[in-house]
Amino acid sequence: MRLAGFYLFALFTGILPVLFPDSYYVTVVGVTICTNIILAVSLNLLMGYAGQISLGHAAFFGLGAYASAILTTRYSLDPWVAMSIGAVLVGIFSLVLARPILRLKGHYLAMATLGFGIIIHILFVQMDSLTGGPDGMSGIPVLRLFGIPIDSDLKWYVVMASAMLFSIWLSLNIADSRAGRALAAVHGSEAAAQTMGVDTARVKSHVFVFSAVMAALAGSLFAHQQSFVSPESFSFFFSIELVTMVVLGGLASTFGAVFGAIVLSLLPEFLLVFEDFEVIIYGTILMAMMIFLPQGLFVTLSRKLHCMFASRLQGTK
Amino acid sequence: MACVEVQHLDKSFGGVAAISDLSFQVQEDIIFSVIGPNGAGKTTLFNLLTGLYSPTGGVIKINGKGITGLKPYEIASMGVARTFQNLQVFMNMTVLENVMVGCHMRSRSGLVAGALRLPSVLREEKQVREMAMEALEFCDMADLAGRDADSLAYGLLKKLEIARALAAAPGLLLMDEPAAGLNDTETLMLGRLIERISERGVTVLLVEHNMGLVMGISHEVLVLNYGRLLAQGSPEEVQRNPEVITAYLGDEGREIPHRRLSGCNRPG
Ligand SMILES: Nc1ncnc2c1ncn2[C@@H]1O[C@H](COP(=O)(O)OP(=O)(O)OP(=O)(O)O)[C@@H](O)[C@H]1O
Ligand SMILES: [Mg+2]
Repeated sequence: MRLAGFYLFALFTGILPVLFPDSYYVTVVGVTICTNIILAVSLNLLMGYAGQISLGHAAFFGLGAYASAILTTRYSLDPWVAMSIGAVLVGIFSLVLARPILRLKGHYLAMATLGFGIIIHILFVQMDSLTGGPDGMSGIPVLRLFGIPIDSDLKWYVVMASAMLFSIWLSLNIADSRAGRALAAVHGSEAAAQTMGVDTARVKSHVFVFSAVMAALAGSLFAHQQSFVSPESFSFFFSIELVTMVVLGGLASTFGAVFGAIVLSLLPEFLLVFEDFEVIIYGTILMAMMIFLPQGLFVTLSRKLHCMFASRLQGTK
Repeated sequence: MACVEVQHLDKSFGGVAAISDLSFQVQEDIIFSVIGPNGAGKTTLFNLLTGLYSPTGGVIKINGKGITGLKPYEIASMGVARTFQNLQVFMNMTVLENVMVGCHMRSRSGLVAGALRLPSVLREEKQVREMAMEALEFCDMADLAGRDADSLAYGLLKKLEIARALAAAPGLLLMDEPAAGLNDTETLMLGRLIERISERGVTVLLVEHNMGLVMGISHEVLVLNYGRLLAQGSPEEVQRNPEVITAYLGDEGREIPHRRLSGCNRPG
């Protein structure tokens, strides 16, 4: 029952490629959606559950992607080894960063994470000898899973969809765990959380690291899937897009983040003007959500449905 | 040994002294009330005792151990729990989840174990749920476990804070104006609840404006005025103290003995 929504979504994800194995929307857009879902879900752990805003989440995604790209092409490491090293490095890096940065609150935290995201992006552009500069890096080797090369769109769909479902499962579990409640407590009342024995600095830094490592792993997968990385994919704008996904769906709701990621990944496919006005559209969505639906679209809708359903049931009794 | 020992405690906010040169002791297993007019420094005292504020001067010892420099969560782990004057319920959670946060120190599992839902986590979750339900039952709120906290009426929210604090299995419980906003029946029930908590071997520190409640259930009363100790003693002594009557209770003070709540007689 706890995971009913999850199983339903898993079923849907599994059926799609069976019904439409050749559809561009499933195997190409679908892979992008999966990547964005992992990122939105991981950002939601920090923003939604713990109430700590981050405007630099794309940087961790980029660090994972570049770690894989650099270690596999320049040092010829196995993709899985490279991915693990990338995750560990990002884990250590985010752990060091967590305490000082999470001591900040509200606008200050937003500014600090924003600055962090911009610095990392500049490093991707400037350190050309390592990162290939603005042109990026190509020739990232194919990922192999149990000896099978992941070399087709459909195979990538299977890999990314599995990773995406796994990330949702993790996130749902956290919501229903000691650490998840501690995070929600920090969000609800930091003073009360502290006096109930929650080491708030510690739980915040744990979720910061967890969320960063999730994004880094998504970045590694992204690098292999694209076989090419460039700084453009990890800019400040992408961080804003991720924040918009989380806010659009509804903070503190895993499926809210999933919903937001799906909607914002599909929009550019259907709105051709999107590319030129991307930033304006995100800004508008963020503002409209904050003013009219601070709970988020998904959360508001599911509450409404739930209420309707409940009153129907009572009516029949 | 005294459960709480306060020596020459000072706390000022930019020149305004909220607590000055305050010394007192609280013996174990009693209901100890702190009263005083608005702004006397009662909440400030609680914030100092729980580590949310750090003193400008003086020493606080809990169970003989100095708490200077300790973080609130470290003080909590010494068995100190509290409720708040301005509600600090986690409105983003259900009633049961609120109380489960109270069990935080009585459980161990970390973020990664919880994310992977390891068997050890499942076992612990079950225990935590039981402990939380027990605290809710103690407060007669078991039937509300599944409700969202933000759907509860004010009186129930106040009780939820008590249940959450009890879930931590504290040795010392600080309650900041638990009767504020409650009607007479609710206040009567609250008095009984506080006595039952005390009977469990929990030392209770109570800040309260409702004199009927305070005089009915307290073993010892301390009167604060402008951050200073004005009087300390049994409820009878404090009520007879002329300084207390004039400085704090005023005319109303003389009526107190008649306003005792019948359901709030002291145990023993
Ligand atoms: N964080 C703070 N910053 C500045 N001044 C404060 C702070 N907290 C309390 N004070 C001041 O300290 C004094 C004591 O306040 P406190 O809240 O402890 O009173 P109280 O006895 O709890 O009053 P009440 O009965 O109204 O709850 C007041 O003058 C108050 O303005
Ligand atoms: Mg107060």
